[in-house]
Amino acid sequence: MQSFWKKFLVFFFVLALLLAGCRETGTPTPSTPSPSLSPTSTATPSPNLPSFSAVDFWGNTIQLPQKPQRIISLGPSATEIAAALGAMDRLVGVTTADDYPPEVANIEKVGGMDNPSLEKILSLEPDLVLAVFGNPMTLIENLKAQKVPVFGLNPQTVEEVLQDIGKVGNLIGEPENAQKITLDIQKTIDFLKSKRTETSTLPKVYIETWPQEPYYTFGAGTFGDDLISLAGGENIASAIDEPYPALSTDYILFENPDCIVLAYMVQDAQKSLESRKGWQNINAVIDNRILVPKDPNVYLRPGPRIKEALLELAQFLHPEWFQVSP
Amino acid sequence: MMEKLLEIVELTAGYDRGPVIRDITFSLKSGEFAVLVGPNASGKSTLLKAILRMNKIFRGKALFKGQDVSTIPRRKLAREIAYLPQENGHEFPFSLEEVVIMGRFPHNPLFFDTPLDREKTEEALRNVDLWEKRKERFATLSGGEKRRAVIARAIAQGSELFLLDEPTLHLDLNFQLEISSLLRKLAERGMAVLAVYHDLWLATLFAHRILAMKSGILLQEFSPKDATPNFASELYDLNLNLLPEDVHNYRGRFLW
Amino acid sequence: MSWKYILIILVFLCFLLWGLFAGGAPLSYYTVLETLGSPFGLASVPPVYQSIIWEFRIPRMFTAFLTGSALALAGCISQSLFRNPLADPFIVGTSAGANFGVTLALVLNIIYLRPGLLALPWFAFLGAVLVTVCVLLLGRKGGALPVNTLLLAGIAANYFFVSLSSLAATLGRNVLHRSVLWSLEGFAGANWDTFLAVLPLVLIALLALIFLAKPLDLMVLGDESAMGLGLNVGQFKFIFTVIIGLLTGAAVSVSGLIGFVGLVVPHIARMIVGAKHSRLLPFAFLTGGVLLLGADNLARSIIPGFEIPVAVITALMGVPFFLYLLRKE
Repeated sequence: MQSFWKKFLVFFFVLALLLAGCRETGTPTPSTPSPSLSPTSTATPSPNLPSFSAVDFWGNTIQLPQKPQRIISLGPSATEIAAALGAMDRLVGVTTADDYPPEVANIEKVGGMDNPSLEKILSLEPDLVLAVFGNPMTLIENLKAQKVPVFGLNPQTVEEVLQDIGKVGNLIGEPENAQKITLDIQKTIDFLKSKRTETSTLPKVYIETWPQEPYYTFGAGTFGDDLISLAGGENIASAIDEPYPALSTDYILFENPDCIVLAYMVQDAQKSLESRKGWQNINAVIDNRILVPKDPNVYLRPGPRIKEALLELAQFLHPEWFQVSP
Repeated sequence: MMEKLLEIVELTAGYDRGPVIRDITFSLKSGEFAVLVGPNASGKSTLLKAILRMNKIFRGKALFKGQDVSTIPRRKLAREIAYLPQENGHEFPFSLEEVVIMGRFPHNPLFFDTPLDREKTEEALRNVDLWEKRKERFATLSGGEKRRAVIARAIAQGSELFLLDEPTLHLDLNFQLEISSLLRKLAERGMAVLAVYHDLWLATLFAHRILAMKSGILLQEFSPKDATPNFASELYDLNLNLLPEDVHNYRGRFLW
Repeated sequence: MSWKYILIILVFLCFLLWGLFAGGAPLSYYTVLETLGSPFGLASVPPVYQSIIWEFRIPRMFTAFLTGSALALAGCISQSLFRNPLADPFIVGTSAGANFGVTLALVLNIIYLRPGLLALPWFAFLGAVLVTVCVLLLGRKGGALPVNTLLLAGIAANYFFVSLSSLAATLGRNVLHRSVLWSLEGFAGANWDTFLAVLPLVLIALLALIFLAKPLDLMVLGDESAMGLGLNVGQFKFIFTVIIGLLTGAAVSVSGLIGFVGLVVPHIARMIVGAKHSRLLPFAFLTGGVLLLGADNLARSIIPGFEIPVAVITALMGVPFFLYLLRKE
């Protein structure tokens, strides 16, 4: 009866392989609602692009048939962009992480950023979903399969933040508002850039985004890293090729930042930092150059309020740039 | 019924590193209860395993009803020969009945138990006088009952030849007698029983034949009434001078 | 004995009903009933509701059920294979393998295999199966598969692939965070495709059980007893390990890492129907499915509009069970 089991084994494996290959044969899922426009990765939103359309982070061209009236945002930065563009009344769903502007508290919550509820989103019948980095890919695929337009945002420089504002503006039908905002921020950027060329020494900056070990910060290729350099500083983690690296105390002590920014809201944050063992020898602590921002979130969200972060940080690092000449 | 059920011919067997038993030759007929005795590492367990092709045969062969055991497919072999190794019980909550019915696997390996399976299981359980306890958890039985249960499983296999490796191990004396008596009864009903025993005295009380093994060879075969202290001391390298003085004053009880 | 099956099926139907009416979308009972009737022309509801119920809620429940069944079956098989009631089905290295597969995909930045087909589930499944094969190769000892060696091979594989994953994660951008998110995702993204992904392997496993139930019984007795009863022990250990790998691989690829189900459900099932596999396996299948279905129902409805990782719920379920086991000792 040995051969019986052998035959059974062979049969079993062949069947398993065959059936495993039949996975994922469901209905084809289109990645864009309309194939009419070929995806282009433009540096700036082309003025020739028709209205209610834009190319997102994944390179998909999203073309909406009309001005979207039911927008869902899956992250605080997207919410702030939509609100700044004047589309608050058209925002029907946000995540629990979204808290600015304060009126957002009255909008339906669709869950967290990492784990929104697909059902909730669908039940709100959106005609546009703004996705950010950190949303689950399965959710995005499921939305696309239901023909819900999903626009992905993931800016890695301040420049790209402005582009995103422009793109979303075009997408939701507020191109003029978008232009206003981006021009305004661009003015600030140009001002800072010009001042920077006149400056020879750039202080070393450490932005702390988590109040205890492991100490998280911005690494290379993030808007936060770009923010620091535009504001006239040098990010101590800019050589680390990881978007949100966790730094060890050794590394921070070795880099010896001249300025520290506490990008979180915790009571007596500065005192706690100063009491950390070994940290008393850091230049920033000795010189008392520790910035506790008015609103730490502006450093964490790649949205319109990045202007506040730029100005606040630049003023902190280079007060001499802002002295009005007599 | 007096045919040679099991015939071992110059069997040399062992493991990859080399043979453990050498040139073993003997035969067993139905109705015989033969016991293998000898010190540890004399190859008793190896001999049983060799009959079942569980180790490496270098030379010689084992014949069951005249057929070379190595030519018999595994499941058929299990129908003909029942093997009870030295393994300990498990702690899974099988009922007594469920353990015994496993003996029917060589006849029916598929999902459902047939009425014939259940019939044979009942027969086996009654044989060892455990039918009333059939629904109890195997793990809650006493040592002796567990051994009887395992023998019932062997009976359910429907085989004519029983190979047991130290069936009385770790049992209280009363259970040792019980099991040995059961094995003898099985032989008297026509089965052939070959068991490894650690206890020479117990073997002489119940077996028809005693096969003495030492260092991998079959030293001698004798009938129980021919067992003598001198023979025992030769087999086990006993130092009889260690016995207390007054033992020699009364014969019979524990050392003939 | 049959009343136990009726009971578990009843619980299944109750959970199914519960799951139909619960979820992130605030649909009233009446709306749900209408939506159920709409494909048959009994009512008409907006297509959105049809999608929610028919495209997501229903397949998600079935996926959760099948995943729980797969894990429970794999758990029974591994506990009998290793003769150890504390063995869980990931013991052959599947969770570490899946994790490694996912890490690899993230490091290589492979998001899609082809448009619309996400890569992570496949990488997870292949990782799980590959590591199982490694363990089988490692665990051989002169042609046989001694249980202890297999166990050690599984543990070694676990450690090895977990550290390999951590190492690999440093090579990519933001990999650790994303792989943790993957492992906690649960059934949030489930649809008919995920259901079809688990279904074939579970069906095959069920089919195989016709031939596996008695060999599993024999495995518990011990290698030598099993061989004495005519079982080709080496061959079956191989088959069992492969099935464990396939079942847990399928489960993990669809739902991330869900613990406790594979460990706890075999115990519960054994307590109710005993250890004989012809009864244990079907009952564990049902119980595991029901348990995970209930856990997922909770995960997506306990805070309306919020998704709690189902692994958290199963872990919480596991705690009282272990306390109970401790008290029994």
